[in-house]
Amino acid sequence: MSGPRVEEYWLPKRGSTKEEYEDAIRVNKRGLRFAVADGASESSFAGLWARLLVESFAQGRLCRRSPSTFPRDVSPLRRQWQQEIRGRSLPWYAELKAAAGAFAAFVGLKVRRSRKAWWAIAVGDCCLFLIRQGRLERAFPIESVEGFPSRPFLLHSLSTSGVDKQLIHITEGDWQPGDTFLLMSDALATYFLTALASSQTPDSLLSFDRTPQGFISWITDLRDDHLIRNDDVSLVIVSYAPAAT
Amino acid sequence: MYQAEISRANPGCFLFLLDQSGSMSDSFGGAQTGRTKADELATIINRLLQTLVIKCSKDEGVRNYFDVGVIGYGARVGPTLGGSLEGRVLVPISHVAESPLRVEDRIQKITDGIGGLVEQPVKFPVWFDPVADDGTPMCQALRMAHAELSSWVDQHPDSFPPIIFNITDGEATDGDPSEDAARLRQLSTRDGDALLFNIHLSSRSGKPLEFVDSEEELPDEFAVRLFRMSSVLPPHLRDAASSEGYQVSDSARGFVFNADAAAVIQFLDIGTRPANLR
Repeated sequence: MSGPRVEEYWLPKRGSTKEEYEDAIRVNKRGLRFAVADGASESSFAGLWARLLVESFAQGRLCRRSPSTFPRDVSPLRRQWQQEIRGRSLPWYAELKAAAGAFAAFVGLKVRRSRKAWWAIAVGDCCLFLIRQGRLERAFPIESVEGFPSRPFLLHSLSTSGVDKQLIHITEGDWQPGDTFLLMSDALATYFLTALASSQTPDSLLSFDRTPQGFISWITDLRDDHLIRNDDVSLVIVSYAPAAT
Repeated sequence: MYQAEISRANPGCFLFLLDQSGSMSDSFGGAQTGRTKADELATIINRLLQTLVIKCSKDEGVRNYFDVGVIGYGARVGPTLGGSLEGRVLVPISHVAESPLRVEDRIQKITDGIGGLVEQPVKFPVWFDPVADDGTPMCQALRMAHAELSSWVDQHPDSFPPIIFNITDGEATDGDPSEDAARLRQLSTRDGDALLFNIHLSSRSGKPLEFVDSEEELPDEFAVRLFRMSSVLPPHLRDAASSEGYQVSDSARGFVFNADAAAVIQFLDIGTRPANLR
């Protein structure tokens, strides 16, 4: 069976440059590992933290064997973030800000080709949606727009006490031909769930011109209409072809 | 209202009015503290500016999310940022970040996570040293603030309204400041009226009070006057204060007594603040 079609889209917050984008996306089509992270904009070097998380997950170092190893696998990433920062000469304010560490939300998906199973892990408000036969089959870890906290608990780049297990959400399921997985950061996820709650369908929401420019046009229109919060936007679409009839 | 996005295109504005009069050389919070009100004011303004700078600090530098100004009133009334900022009232926050008088190395004690304390070196930027001299021309300072912010709101009609912090022991010597305060609060952007917050430093040893909602618990006429001059917290800021753990009622005002107000700066959203950032 051929693998899924994988698409990646991203756009920085309006008013920010692409260098200032603090989400991160990594896909590993061969290993069927996909991740989106969202660096908290009020922390510094958050984009770096987000990139370390998704890179490590996509390459199989984070959640090496299963989602249960997440707390242990995060430790070397923390050390790597701290080493990167320590190596820089920073003005007093950047030193004080960096001392507080960086925060990020994260969602990672691993699909198993042969067993038609998948598992996912999330911290904070990046989301995974499973679309099946034109309907939202699963929403993880947040199931409705009311579930988005104004101040989410996120993954910290500094900690001597491990990862609070209460922050980590894990789920699993089966997939079928025709299924589509969506991973996205919170601004788009909030819009998505709001639109579905007002009777729009997943297919209509994904009917934008599936090119980078098409994505930019779609998000720009949403921002102009004040339908989406002004924030970095990241989207991964993993779609399996329907069964041949 | 009071929900405009704070961005580099539409920055917010903080204007600090600092009482540098002779009465500020009196002791702060009861004689046993060993500090003067001028000492406490210097600590508060340095911490407020540090909080603002750090809030705006990103990987590449300080983003100009705010314009910031400081007006001192005592022997004279005028802008009091020093060094390269001398003579300028409102400046972008990045200019403040680059221009402390000095950055001291201090030691702070932090918990080691297992019940003990460890000493950690920390940088402490200083923009102001204590000053206490002459009378208290608060009315004149409020009028100068009005003049400065009139043109700011004209230039930034879509911005979050300006926030003015008046840090004082409350004993104005050039008249009743209530009317000048009211005129200042009437300045507005499309997002709402300017907010005037008063930080009252007292020689009395009363317990610190934050975001007071009633005159009844205030110890003297100066506190009552400053309370009446203070803006009611708008709902959005009130909700932010509640979620930070402050007890705020619907009539809570931006008035604090013998406490600092750096928390107010944290209430302003310029991005995602994680719940586990304390």
